[in-house]
Amino acid sequence: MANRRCIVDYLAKFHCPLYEDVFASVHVIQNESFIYLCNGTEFVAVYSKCEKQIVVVYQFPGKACLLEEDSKQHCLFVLCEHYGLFSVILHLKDRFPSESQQRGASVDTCRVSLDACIIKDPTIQSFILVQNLIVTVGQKCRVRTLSVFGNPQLGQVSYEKIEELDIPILENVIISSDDKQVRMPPYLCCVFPHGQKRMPSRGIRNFSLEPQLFTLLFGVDATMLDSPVILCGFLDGQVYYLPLRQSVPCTDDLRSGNSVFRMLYHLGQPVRFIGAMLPNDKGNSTLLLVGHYGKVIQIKTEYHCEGSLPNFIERNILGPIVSVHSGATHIYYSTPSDLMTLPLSNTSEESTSSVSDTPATENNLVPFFQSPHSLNVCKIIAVSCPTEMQTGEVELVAFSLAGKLMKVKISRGPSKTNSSRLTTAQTVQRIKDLLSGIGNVSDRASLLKSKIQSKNDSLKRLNWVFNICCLLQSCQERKEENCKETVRCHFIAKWNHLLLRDSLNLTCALENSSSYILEKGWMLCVEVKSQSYSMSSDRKHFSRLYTFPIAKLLPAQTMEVSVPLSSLNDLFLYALVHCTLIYNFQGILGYQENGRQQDQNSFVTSMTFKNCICLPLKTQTVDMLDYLRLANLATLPRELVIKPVTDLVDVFLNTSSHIIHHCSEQIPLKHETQFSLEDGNFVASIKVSTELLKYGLTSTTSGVTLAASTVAWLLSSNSEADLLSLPSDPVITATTPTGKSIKIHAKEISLNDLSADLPISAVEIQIESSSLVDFCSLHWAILQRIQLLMNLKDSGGGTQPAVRMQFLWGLLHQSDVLAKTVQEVRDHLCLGLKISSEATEKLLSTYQQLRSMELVIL
Amino acid sequence: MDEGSGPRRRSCLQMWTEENNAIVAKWEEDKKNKQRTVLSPCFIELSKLLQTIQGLPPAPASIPVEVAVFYNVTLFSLSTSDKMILDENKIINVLQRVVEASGGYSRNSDILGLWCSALPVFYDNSCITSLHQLACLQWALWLLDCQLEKILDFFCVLSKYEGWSSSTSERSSGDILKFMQKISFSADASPLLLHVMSAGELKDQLYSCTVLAHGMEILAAGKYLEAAQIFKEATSLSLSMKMQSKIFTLSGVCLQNLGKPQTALQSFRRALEADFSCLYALYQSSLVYRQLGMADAEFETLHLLCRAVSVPEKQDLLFDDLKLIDPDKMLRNPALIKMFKKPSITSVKYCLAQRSLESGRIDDAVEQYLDLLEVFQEEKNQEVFTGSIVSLPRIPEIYLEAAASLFKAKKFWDATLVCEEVIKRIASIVPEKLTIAVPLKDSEGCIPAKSESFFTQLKSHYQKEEYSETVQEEKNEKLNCILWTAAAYFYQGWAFTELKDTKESITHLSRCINLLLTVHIVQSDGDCINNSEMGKITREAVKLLHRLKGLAFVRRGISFMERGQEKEALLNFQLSQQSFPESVDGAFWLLEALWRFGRKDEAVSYWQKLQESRQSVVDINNIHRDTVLFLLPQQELSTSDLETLNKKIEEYRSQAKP
Repeated sequence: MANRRCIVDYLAKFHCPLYEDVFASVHVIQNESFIYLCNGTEFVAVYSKCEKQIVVVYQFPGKACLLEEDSKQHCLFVLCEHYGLFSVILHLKDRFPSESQQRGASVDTCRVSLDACIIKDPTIQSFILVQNLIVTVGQKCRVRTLSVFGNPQLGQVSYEKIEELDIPILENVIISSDDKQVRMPPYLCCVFPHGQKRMPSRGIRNFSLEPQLFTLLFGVDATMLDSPVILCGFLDGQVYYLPLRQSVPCTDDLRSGNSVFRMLYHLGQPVRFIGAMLPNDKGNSTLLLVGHYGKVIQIKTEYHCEGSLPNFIERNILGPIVSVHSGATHIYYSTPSDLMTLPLSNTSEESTSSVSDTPATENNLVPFFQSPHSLNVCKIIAVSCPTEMQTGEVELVAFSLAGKLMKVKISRGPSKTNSSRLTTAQTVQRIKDLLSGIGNVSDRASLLKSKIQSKNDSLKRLNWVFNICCLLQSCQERKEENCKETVRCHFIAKWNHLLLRDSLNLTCALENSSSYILEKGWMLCVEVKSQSYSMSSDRKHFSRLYTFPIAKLLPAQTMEVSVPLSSLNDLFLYALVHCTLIYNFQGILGYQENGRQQDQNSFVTSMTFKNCICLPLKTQTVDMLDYLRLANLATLPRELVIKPVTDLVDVFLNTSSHIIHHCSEQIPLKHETQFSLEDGNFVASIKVSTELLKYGLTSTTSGVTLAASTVAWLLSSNSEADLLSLPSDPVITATTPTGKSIKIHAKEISLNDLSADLPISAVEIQIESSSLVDFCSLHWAILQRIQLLMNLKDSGGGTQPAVRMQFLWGLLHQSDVLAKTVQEVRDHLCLGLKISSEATEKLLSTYQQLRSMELVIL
Repeated sequence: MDEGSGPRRRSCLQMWTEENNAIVAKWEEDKKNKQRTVLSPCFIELSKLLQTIQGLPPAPASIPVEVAVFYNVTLFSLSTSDKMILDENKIINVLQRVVEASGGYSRNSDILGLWCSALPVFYDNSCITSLHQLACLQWALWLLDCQLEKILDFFCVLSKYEGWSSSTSERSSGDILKFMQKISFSADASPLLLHVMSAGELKDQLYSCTVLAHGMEILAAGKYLEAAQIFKEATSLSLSMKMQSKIFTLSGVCLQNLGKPQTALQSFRRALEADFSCLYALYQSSLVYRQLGMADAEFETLHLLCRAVSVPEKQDLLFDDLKLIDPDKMLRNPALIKMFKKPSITSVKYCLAQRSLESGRIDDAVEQYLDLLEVFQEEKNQEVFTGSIVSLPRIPEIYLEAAASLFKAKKFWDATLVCEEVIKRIASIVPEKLTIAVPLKDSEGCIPAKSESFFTQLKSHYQKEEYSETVQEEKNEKLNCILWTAAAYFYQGWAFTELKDTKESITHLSRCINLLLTVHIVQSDGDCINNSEMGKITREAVKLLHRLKGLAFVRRGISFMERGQEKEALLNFQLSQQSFPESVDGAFWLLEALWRFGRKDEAVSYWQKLQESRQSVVDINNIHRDTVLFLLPQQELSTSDLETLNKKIEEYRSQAKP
């Protein structure tokens, strides 16, 4: 359906009650200066076109369903439900023009009393004004009545009933008066033969027809008497006509069964509108019937050789039709979704040429039906009679479901007859309009295209991200080793020598063995959590977070980043390193926001992690064994980056890691200031059974003793381990990051008195160090490794050799003694007494003893 | 409940009674001052009171009050709206409450059944007044709905209760009517409760309306004797003048139909005495005069009627009687309404004009017809007339009749103008060609459809689909249009002949003939159509067509004769005889023409033939007199012309014989 341009001016806003049959009671009427509106409530509003505002509102006792204006007598006739017909005299000329200056001036509200009811009849459903008569149609139960009221003396208010007639109802059609689907009053209108010199009609529903059509439809008598004919269209589709002046040949004076009403047409659906269109020099040449569900009947004169007949041309438009009116050549109707206009053309001219002597059948006529044009104004529930302006535009007043009163100006579309040549200026203007229109459209199109493109890109990226997430998650659910296609990360502690300085760095290698590309937006996040070193701080962990943006990691590529491990906190006991992959969703949209690539670093520096997803990759501990310096260092003095620890007690008091033994606990060791960590030779030995070791020593090359392989296994995670050739004698001397030397010695032993059955072979690992800190760290590291073995053993299952009770009793006794010592010291502490150096010494010795206990890890 | 609420209940009743009385008193006060301003407020107040009363469950003690208030409210409601509407549901509601008051429970939705169960309650609690009031309302409702049988049934039931014995078990309607008359509704039990109108008064009015309606029904059924009796009895009732006049009129109609014109006239006179606005009586008396052949009286009456109709009705009815119920409005019988409606001026004038023309009062006729035509053309006349008791023919026919009257009055030029008017209006829908199917057999009986087999019927139905009822009607209409236009041309032509303008006359007559010749008469096998009324009309029209054709040819021939074109004249006369052999004029002129041209032998033989079939000729005019008024002015051939012709031919024959 083509569109016609129309301009909509909103005039006023009203309240519109929302029930289904509201459209049946909403009517808009306009004349040159005023617009009258009843919107289904008890109020009728009068809007003045020159003042551009509502001037009067009338309030009626009941709901106003229909209204008509009598311009001659300046009064308004309003039909109220349950009451009857009211007549209100409009005093609209008395308004002073100065009032228009005050916008929002109080609108006059007039309450209409029951005295203004000129016809008290609650059964009236519809009425019409014909000259100085009022014709009403009402229904009570199953009887429809048409009454004619006349004004015996002009100027008098009361109307007298002249005539009352019963309209026949077809018996096979059952009409229930409370049919909720469609409740519409009957449509009444009045037709005059054209060329009447009578007093012009009062109401708007009066129109004239050309004489020939009039005679054909309504009979010769009506034409000869110049009688107005009332047409009524009812809910069941019947359209009856009644000439107001007629002669009825009386067959039987007492019993007359024939009704004076005759049926013009049966529409089959409720009648919404009856009107006349297509005027020619003799008058309107078409009578139009419009049904609620879209049936449109045009009645024209059809010329036959055997005389002319009325031709009923039927067509269907899309319904349901809410409100409809006809102009001279177009029908304007509103459906629930749109306001449409339908041009109707004169088809009779095209058909006469094809008529031959034989009676014209329908096949000879080729009606030229045009399609409706949409005006793109929706939810119109009432339309007024269209008026044609001098410029050729058609103006009509409409009322929408939202309660807005608006004026719609419809420009005349391109008509064939008016295709005269435009002037140059008009042509130029038209071309400009068209070009700008094209430009607009192309702009929009390109904008849309780019938007779509960017959307596609974002979606693609999102898809990748989700793929990677799913991959990583699924890998985590299963065992990591089974995943081949995944993103892995691996930590190695390395020593760097830069500018005569050695520094310990933790290198994180991110390996992309999946088939996806890690693009911009991905970040590698390394978190280093270390133990608190000093006593003064609260027991908390220090952690540092390093974020590295990933530019592009293709499959089978590896990215390496390094973080320093230089703080003392890191090096005490162990450091916990977390590695996560983070994706910032702003990366998906990042390109479009500014039209340039987002600076990835800004994310990093801002440190905000909103709109991100985190995928943890790996968590690893880095302990002493990893960063022991095995290589022979040059004797050049090297600047130490690690500062020695000052307070040993802090360390002991703050540490919370524990070693799983049969019985062990961390012993806070008081340390006197005299003590220095550098002094003293700290020795500890750990005995691990061979069986246990076997879990760890998976690869045992020939020619290597168990002890050597043990040492090798211990140092397997050290980056410098491969530099070292394994001596047969498994003694390693290494340098700690603080610069102290440390010795690890492993030898095989056999324990006989442990078990009753067999002597247990074990490996004894001896640690020797001068610095207590390093000693502790190393000891802890080794024990961690052994714990790993034990985890493996537990999961793998295995037998445990029986242990002699005596041995255990001895151990217990020893530990009791030690425990007592510790208890003493602790009591001291609790009492708030200063810890003496003796206590510290005691603790230290206890510690030593512990370290060198005869505990065997089985 | 009884003990504790006893005093309360009584005081409730007292309250209601007081309120009711107050409102009624207010209204009565108003009525004395001849005002109707408080009618609506009183009605609203009473309705509220009724709602209050009906809000409580019913009890025997409250029945009188409730029914009284309901009665008052209903009577008020009847007068507040223009249309008298009574809601049966409200009465049913009250009846149900009455039944409930006595502890019963009625599911009966049938109104008579409900009444049956309610009646004992009334009698038991001796609320007879309430019974009467409610009965009146129910009666009024049924009367407004024109359900007389229900009224009779109801009173049958009531009569049983009243112990009205009858000799026969079956009660006739006359008996029941008697009972209805005899029963007295005016027993006012409690003077405490005021009523707007006493039940007795209402009952009388209702009774009179019922009698009238009943009588009307019987009259419509054709039982004039019975109806006459009923009306005679009804005259003894005390009624308003309007009702009396109606009763007299109706009895007059009965008497007229029974063949007693003088008594009928008397009744009509009495009716008019009672109420002059009952114009039907006047019209009927004119018909009686016509029947009796008293032309002067008839015309006087018609003139009187005409004058009476022209006078506008007085509007003082509203304020004279402040009656709540207007018995006139109670009568809803459509035949009654039609009868007593004021006839329209046009129809009365037409009646007068027609009668004048028929009885030969040409000047009067002319005057009346011209008056009538003026009425038609008058712009200010806004009269609506649809269906009055005086019938009107088709409007073009009226015009043609007017032309005929003018013709008879020798006002030829005016006649042509009137005909011109007709032609102007109708000419646009006159078809160029029309095909009419006429059966081979001219009689009423034709081949019954049953004798043909189904398939031939079907085939013929499809082939002759165009001969359905509506199409036939349309064709008849077109035929009528052709006939009217042709007749108009005919008159014009004839007028010009009289005005001695032969050229014009020939032109017009030629037009007439051409128009008539466009109708093709097709002989059909006559299966579907011709038994119907449409078929009859078609046949009549076709006959008229032939007659008109014949006349037109004759006239044209005469014109040709005057111009001296004898050949054409002879041809026309011959053609006229072909189309309408029964015409006397045509025969005469043909003979004349033959004689003048010297073809005397032919004339003689033709004359002989004519003599044989002479008998049938004379009656022709009479037969067609009734149907077509506008072809009335036949130029009656003077007997002298005929005689001369006869003599001439006789002479010649006698000469030729030997």
